[in-house]
Amino acid sequence: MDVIDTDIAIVGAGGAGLRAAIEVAEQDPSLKIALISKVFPMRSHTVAAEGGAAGVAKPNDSFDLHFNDTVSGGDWLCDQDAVDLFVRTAPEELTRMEHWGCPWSREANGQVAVRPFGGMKTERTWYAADKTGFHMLHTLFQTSLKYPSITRFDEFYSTELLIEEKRCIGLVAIELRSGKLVAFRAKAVILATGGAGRVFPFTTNGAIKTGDGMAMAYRAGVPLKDMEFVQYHPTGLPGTGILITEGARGEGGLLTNSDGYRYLQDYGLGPPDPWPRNKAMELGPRDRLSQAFWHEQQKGRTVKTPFGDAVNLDIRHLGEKKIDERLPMVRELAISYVGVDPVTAPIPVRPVVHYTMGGIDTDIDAATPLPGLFAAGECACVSINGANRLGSNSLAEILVFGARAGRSAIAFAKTVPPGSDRATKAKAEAAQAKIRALFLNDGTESAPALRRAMNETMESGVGIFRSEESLRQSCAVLADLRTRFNQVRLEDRSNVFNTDLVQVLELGAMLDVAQTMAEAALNRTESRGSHQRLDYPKRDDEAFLTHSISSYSGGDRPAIGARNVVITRSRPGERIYGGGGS
Amino acid sequence: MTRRPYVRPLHPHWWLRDRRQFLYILRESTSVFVGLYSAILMNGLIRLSQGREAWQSYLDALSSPLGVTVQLICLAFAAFHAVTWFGVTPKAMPPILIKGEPIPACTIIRGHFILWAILSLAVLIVLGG
Amino acid sequence: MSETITIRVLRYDPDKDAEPRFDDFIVPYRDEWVVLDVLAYIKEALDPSLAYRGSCHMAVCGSCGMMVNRQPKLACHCFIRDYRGQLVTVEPLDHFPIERDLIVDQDGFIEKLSSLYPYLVTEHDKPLSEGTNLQTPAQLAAFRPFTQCINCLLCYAACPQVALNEGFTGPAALAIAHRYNRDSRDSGEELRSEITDSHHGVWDCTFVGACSEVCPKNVDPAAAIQQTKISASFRWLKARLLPGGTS
Ligand SMILES: Cc1cc2nc3c(=O)[nH]c(=O)nc-3n(C[C@H](O)[C@H](O)[C@H](O)COP(=O)(O)OP(=O)(O)OC[C@H]3O[C@@H](n4cnc5c(N)ncnc54)[C@H](O)[C@@H]3O)c2cc1C
Ligand code: SF4
Repeated sequence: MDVIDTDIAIVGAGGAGLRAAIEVAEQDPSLKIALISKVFPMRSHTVAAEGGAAGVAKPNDSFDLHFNDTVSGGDWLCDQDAVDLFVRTAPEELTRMEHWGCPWSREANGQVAVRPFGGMKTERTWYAADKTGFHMLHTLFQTSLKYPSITRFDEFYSTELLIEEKRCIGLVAIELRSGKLVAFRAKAVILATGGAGRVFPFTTNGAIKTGDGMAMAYRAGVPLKDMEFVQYHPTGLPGTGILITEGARGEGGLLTNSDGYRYLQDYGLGPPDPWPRNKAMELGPRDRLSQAFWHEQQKGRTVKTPFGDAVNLDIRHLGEKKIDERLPMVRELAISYVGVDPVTAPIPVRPVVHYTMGGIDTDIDAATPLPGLFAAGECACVSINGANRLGSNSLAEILVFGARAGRSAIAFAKTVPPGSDRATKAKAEAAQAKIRALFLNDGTESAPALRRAMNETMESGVGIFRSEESLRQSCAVLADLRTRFNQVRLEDRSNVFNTDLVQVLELGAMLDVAQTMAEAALNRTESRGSHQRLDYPKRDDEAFLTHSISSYSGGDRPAIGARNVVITRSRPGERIYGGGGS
Repeated sequence: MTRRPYVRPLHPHWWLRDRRQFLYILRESTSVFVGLYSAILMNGLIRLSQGREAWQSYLDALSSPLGVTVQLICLAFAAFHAVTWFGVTPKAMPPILIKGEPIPACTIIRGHFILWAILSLAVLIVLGG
Repeated sequence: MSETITIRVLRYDPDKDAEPRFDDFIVPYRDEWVVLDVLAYIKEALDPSLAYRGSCHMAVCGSCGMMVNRQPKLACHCFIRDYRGQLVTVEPLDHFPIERDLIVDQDGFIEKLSSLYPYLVTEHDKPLSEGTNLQTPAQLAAFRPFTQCINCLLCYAACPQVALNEGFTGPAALAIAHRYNRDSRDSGEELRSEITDSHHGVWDCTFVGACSEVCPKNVDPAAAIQQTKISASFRWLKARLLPGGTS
């Protein structure tokens, strides 16, 4: 087997991975960097982000205000020392992006423009038209081409971490174009593999967001933190899950049920002013809006569509001219994907899974409990997002913590020798044997069927609202799927671009991630942010001002533990929206 | 086995298989006719220098049915060349901003046609008058 | 039986096939399906060995460029309702080596792009303490269209010059170089001109215009290239006519 020696290996070339690579290259050009990604960097899902990236920019704003919005938006589950560091560093990082050429939208005077965003008190969201993530990703990718110390391994699918004496010494990955397994021996490894929305059937997440890195860390004994917190975006298109931006509501879009009634007023989000009011009605937080949909569904007041239940997002009153001017993409998407022209008819929408707040347990320096392993971006949980991420915080997070992971990895790499030949070879060969077994054994279980069953049970049991019963059911189904997965059948036995193999491995990762989500949700007998229990509708700060810690136990289910949240200066309070919120 | 990228040979009639490519080759081929017409004009100059008779026979040849046909074909191709060329000119120019807004492509194209008409008219008047 | 549609897909597995062949699949017809959905259906229900790229399903990641009935398209943005009642032929992007089925080798593009200094080149590093650069909306508008490229490579598949001259830098890479050249914050045009002004740079382009026609993001690479030709000509003249000009 080929062994590639490098100083720092980074898995994932989305926003977080690229930022980490550039940081290492700038801080110490003598270090060799291997940047490994299962897709070309510019295909990473950071590319899909539209809205913007948060960082204090205006004189009337302050770090304290950004801190407060983030901590209360996260329902006090954020680690406050991390949030402090985050809000202080975000503007710097966004400025650096500007120096690297990011085409931020501008004010008439040439200053970078900022826009308001859900849950943010003032304008602090930097944006590049309606393609912020796209521009950030391409700027980072193109900038990364400047540094000779970064060697890219595009379309390498990483399957496992290499561990020697409780230290991470590298990883193995499949070169997709040849099917060869390659070992990367590194003094430090950074995981930046993104989220896991694909565990659910309806999601704004692309096909590549399968939680691979989370599962790799988990299987190597690194705990996953706060996995029960999964953000739904209230307005996705039924069927495809394509995102209809919050902007549609910001411009005055209304949500109505099958009676044409603005149902949000029944859920403490009123009063129903005819025009948008910050933090109220349609501009309430994502978790509350998605939860209101669920209640309407229970009451049978949703609209039936060929792709399942929906509510109506009505922007007809804006008129064709304004729609074309401000929301051209919304109109195009609605016409294309659901056959509805929003000028003449309301758009059917439903909540769709959007973001995984939980992830690999890291500290404020992006270090995981496993020496030599660091993590950043959506795959990590620092945590600044707590129980509910505020829109536009994550694009800033991938920069702030991507760079930090880079620096921490340098510091660590300088203190250790590379892993031993013996361990590298032995572990890599063990990894290879597992994959070879897939090729040689004639499994009986169909991967698409297992995936569908997983999607269904996550939607029905671990969705917007959960209960002991639904969660127990899903945990049992997932444990069973996990066992059946051992008999999974690989249909395609070719070497070159075996995408069947990739999908099978991704399914394995997703099953691990799904299990931690369901088990952690079962364990958290309270409601907080995006985690809502019908049987425990109240937040319980006595028992649950804690992060949940899911660890691989060797058995068929994760062990769930807890760790206190870091509170520095904001005691848990009430999250107030609607009339009292602005 | 490992990778063995396959390069598909270019189809021998690649430019006939696609309307867009066909029109492109057509536009390129107009240069042959534009060139032909220049050669005819050049010949006219040579004939002129050879005296009145030579010039007259040149004019006769031009107004013969064959001569007229050839000129019509050249005109058609030259017109096709001009029209397609005007069509792409907005791309060839850096954007001209008026009050911060770039001039729309159709305005630029229209401008070219108007200029063309004016110049042709001027030539007609000068020669005809 | 409910309505179906026939999809003919180019197949090539280097482990097994000496050269590409075609497979026909009969799939259910659904109004809202794009070609990418059909491929996913085939992979899940009919032939798990089908290989293709695709991720975001919203025309922004640039993974799923392929030929659909001989036209370069994004599979996620190509509705089968536009081909109702027809045979739909899906092939990998023209002008690229085929790795397997619908997957092509894009390394050539990445290399060409990398050679063009595709990042902001500045004379001095601006310290963070000085804050952001100023750039007016008009200055932004001057290069913004050229920032929209998603690297889907449809333009390479449409361009006959890419097929005829292997070395041609090609539409998207040149458009990205132009994006930086036109950026008010950049001073790297000289550097880039080494490649853009060369034979395999803009001068391989015969202004077919097909790139701009097929581009799903209205990048207009043809415009970028023609504008670069003009600048390149001035640079050439300047170098030869002005005292102190180089070369
Ligand atoms: C539709 C949409 C809109 C959004 N809008 C916003 C917004 O407006 N503002 C905001 O702040 N956030 C937004 N988000 C969230 C934000 O975009 C993401 O959280 C963020 O981009 C994640 O970046 P990342 O670098 O962590 O991961 P990604 O960009 O997902 O990158 C993951 C990388 O890991 C690689 N990888 C994964 N698994 C493997 C493996 N096994 N082997 C090798 N490589 C692997 C992938 O190839 C990829 O390069 C949005 C998200 C979506 C889906
Ligand atoms: S220029 Fe257009 S067609 Fe070419 S790669 Fe970029 S987005 Fe695709």
